[in-house]
Parts: sequence; C-alpha cells; structure tokens
Amino acid sequence: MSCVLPPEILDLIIDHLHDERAALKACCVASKSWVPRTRSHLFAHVEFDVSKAHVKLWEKTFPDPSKSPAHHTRELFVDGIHGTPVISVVGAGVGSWIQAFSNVVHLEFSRLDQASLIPFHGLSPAVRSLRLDHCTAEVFDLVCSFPLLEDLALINPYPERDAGGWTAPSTSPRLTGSLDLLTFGVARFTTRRLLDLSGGLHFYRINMMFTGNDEAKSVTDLVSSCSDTLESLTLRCYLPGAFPWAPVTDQHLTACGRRCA
Amino acid sequence: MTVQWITTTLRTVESRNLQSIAIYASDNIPGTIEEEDHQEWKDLDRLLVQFWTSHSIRPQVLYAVGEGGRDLRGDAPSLLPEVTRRGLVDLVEITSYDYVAVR
Repeated sequence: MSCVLPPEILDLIIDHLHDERAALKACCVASKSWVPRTRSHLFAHVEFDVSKAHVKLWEKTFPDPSKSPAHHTRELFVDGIHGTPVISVVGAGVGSWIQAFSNVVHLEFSRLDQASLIPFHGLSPAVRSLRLDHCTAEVFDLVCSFPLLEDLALINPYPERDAGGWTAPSTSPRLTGSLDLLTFGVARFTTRRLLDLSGGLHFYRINMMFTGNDEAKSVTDLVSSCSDTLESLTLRCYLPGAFPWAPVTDQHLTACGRRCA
Repeated sequence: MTVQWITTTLRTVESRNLQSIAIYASDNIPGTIEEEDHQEWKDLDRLLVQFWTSHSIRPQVLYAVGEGGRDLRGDAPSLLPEVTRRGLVDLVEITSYDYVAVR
C-alpha cells in the first residue's frame, strides 16, 4: 500500500524522533524515501575516538566521501591520542574523509597534539563554535580559517612551541560569542595570540583562568579588549601550590573533559 | 597580588551590558592574611559594591573547600565586608571537578 501522507508531514514525524536513535534506525530500513531525513538526525552528531579505530570503521562503511552522510553532521568531535600525528588520523589532501564534513557548526578536537592542524582548516564555512582540548599552537591559524566563528574554547593549548615568529592571518573571525580559556602557565602566550587577531575580540562572555601574577597582565588586556561587548565575566586565579592537585596532570583534565562532555 | 589583578581586570570593563561576574581566587595563605592582602580584598569589595550600584550585578564568589583551597565562606565577612553585610554576593562552593570545568 502506498503512503498517502505528503513528504512534508513524514519529515515532521521523523523530526519528532530526532533523539530516538533506535526509532530512527528502524525508519531507515522501513522505507528508502525516509532515509535522507533520518540520516540528517542520525549523523547530526558524530564522534570519532581514534583509539577505538572509529576512523577506519567510517572509511570502510563510507568509502566514497562524496556519498557519505557527513554533510548531515552539525557537531563533529575528534578525540585523538597523545603523540599521534594528525595526518595519520585524517588522511591527506582533498578527498579525505574529513573533507566531507562540510556543514559542521560545532567542531571539537581533543588530544591532537602532534604535527599540523592544516587538514582541518576551513573544514566547514559554517563553523560557529570551536573547542580545542590539548591541541597544538597552530590553533590560531585554525581559528582564522573559520570566518563565522563566534565561540572559542581553548583547553590547555601548547603555544610555547612556537612562541616566536607567528604572523596573524590578515583576516580573522569577529568572535562575538563566548571564550573559555583554561591554561596552565601559558595564558600570556595564548592571550597574546588572541590579541594579535586582526578582526579584534568581541566576546560577550569570558571564562578564563590564570596561574600566577605573571599571567595576570595579559588576562587584563584580553578582558579590556572586550570591554565594550562583555556581558559575563568569570575569572579564576590560581597561585602556584594552591591548586587542589599538585601537579595538575593530563588525567585530571581529561577526566573533567569527559565528565563535562 | 592575585586579588589586586582581579580588581584591576574588573576595572577595565566598561560594557553597559555586563550582567554577570564570577570570581575565584585561590589563596595559599595558610592562616592569617597579611595587611596588604586585606587591603586588596577591601578594594575588591568596594568595586563589587560599585558594580551592584551601577549595573545591579550580584557577583558570585567561588570557593573550594579542600586541600590547598581556602574556605572563603567563613572569611567572607572580613574579606568582603560590605557586599557580605548587604547581601550583595553569592558564595558558591565549587567541587574539585569545577576547578577545571569550563562548560
């Protein structure tokens, strides 16, 4: 028996199931015409855990990136492994699986701390939110590759690796959203990079910490640069030795990141 | 010095849209607080009162109870006398996870 409901109504019905993965999967096998709509929900949020070989599984399932459901993805998470070169995670050049995620709005990477983040540059022009946890100093080139970027979260970046000789790109996003900056001992390098961005800073919410008075000046400069737009400010100051765990380890941060996620 | 920097940073904010302030100042001073530090806290207290007056902002002061962290709840009346007396501040205990949580 043919379906008498117009496709718009079917789409609405499927949309109601957006957080019911089992039902969505059932819809996928019920009718071929339902597949595109169900995929838009099933693949809206994609997480790759490199340690669990998710990337290889994805490539095996969708060998042709142009036909993969990646274009449905709005939130993309890539959790790497400390010491793993990025290029071995995402592949090289145009046509690699990562390039198919062209409509991502929220992008999140963690533990991609080796080599270059260039394969991710401009991945999706729609990116408005970027969170980088334990990634390399090249995060700021990555930031500048997303023209619509509003929200930025930098968790323990490693800017000291290229503390000198960085030239800010000629254009940068306006950064009108929120800034979460959690660093341990490198706030001044990170804030210097941010202040160098050509488009300026226009955050309405800032949540940042610094560890010691030698970093405080840069924090003040950063807050001052957003002085006109700021609506919410959270400052966390930690003096050396005052932290509840000493020293702070990657495990603490990672555990927190997972908990918060 | 830490508290002084918080005050300095807050003073740079000129936005009329400012609606929320939260601060956490870890302090590894074990027992007594030096006079200089007391003065810094008083300056912060005065500034927070100004923010209440000018922006109606009720600040949150975060504190942690545990190893290495100072329990500000008991110290608040002496460190932030005016905002405490007038009930203009929310003292919020944070957990160990909250130390590093940013979302």
